[in-house]
Amino acid sequence: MTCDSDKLQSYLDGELDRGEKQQLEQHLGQCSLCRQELTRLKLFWLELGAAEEITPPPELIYLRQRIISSVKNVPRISEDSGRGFWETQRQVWQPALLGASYIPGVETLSKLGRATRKQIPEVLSMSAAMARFLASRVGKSKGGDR
Amino acid sequence: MPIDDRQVIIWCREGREEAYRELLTRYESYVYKLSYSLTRHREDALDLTQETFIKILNGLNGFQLHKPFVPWLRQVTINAYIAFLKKKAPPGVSLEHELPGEKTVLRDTLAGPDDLHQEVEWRDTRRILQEATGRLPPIYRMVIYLRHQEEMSYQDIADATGLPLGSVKTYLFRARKHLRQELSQFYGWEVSK
Repeated sequence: MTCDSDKLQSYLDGELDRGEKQQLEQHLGQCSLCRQELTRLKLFWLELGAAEEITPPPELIYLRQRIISSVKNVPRISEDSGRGFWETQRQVWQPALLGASYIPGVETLSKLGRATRKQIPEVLSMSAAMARFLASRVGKSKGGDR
Repeated sequence: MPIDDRQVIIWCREGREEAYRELLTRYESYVYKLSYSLTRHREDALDLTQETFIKILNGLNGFQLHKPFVPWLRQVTINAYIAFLKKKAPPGVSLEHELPGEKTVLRDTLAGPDDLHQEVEWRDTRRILQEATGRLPPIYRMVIYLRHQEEMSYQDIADATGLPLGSVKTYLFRARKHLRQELSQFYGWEVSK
């Protein structure tokens, strides 16, 4: 085997296969020039592998916020299907549920009937009108948020 | 107990802002240092850091949770750097053509007429080497950095950069030769024939 600095570099890089490595180590046993070169390379490797001191700049904190702002409104695929469905359901049913909470029970209906001196169907229709009104208010306030 | 990256990524996928902040806090220095080592330019490194994290956060749904996070982060940074180099290269000139030939020495790549001889008396070898690395052509610098700082194999560098395996070896050996020649001018560092 002849002297080969590239081979020595591959050796230090851990890129030689077992056969090449054995062959080189045999050669190193016989060649003082290659041993010297290997020592120089090892010293050079130490310098190349030394981590440079790089101080992160203070702007990284502002950059962090900018990055977050630019990505946080992007829809997330993994949760969209789940949350999107329930969010839609909530928005669809919320006005109806809110309105339903204003539909009085049987006992209250009779009380309302006595107080207003009206028949139960009329009291029910008043309650339904109140529910529709509340639902429309909720819809408007949600639209205004966008 | 510290929360592992996997959990933070799961929370990021749910769009939780505090999880984004945690992920950035953990890795922004790493990405900045890698970007700075590749570009040797503060503003460019900040731009690369921003671009890398936007890609990372937007791409988290595609990340395989059983894999380690840092190699992916490094790969996205390298991709962003290569795209940045291509954008900066003059039209019609490939990155390979920008690389100097075998006869080029580092002195030819110096940005200015600085006389390093005058400075050597009070600068250490490491500093000179880092400066010389900073003056290497970008592809050489990237290959040197990925091998010696990130400890990547030739094949891993080829996979990460899209360079042919043979080119990785060529650039790496040439870069080392240049750096040793640069160092040989100071402190009597010897260069093999």
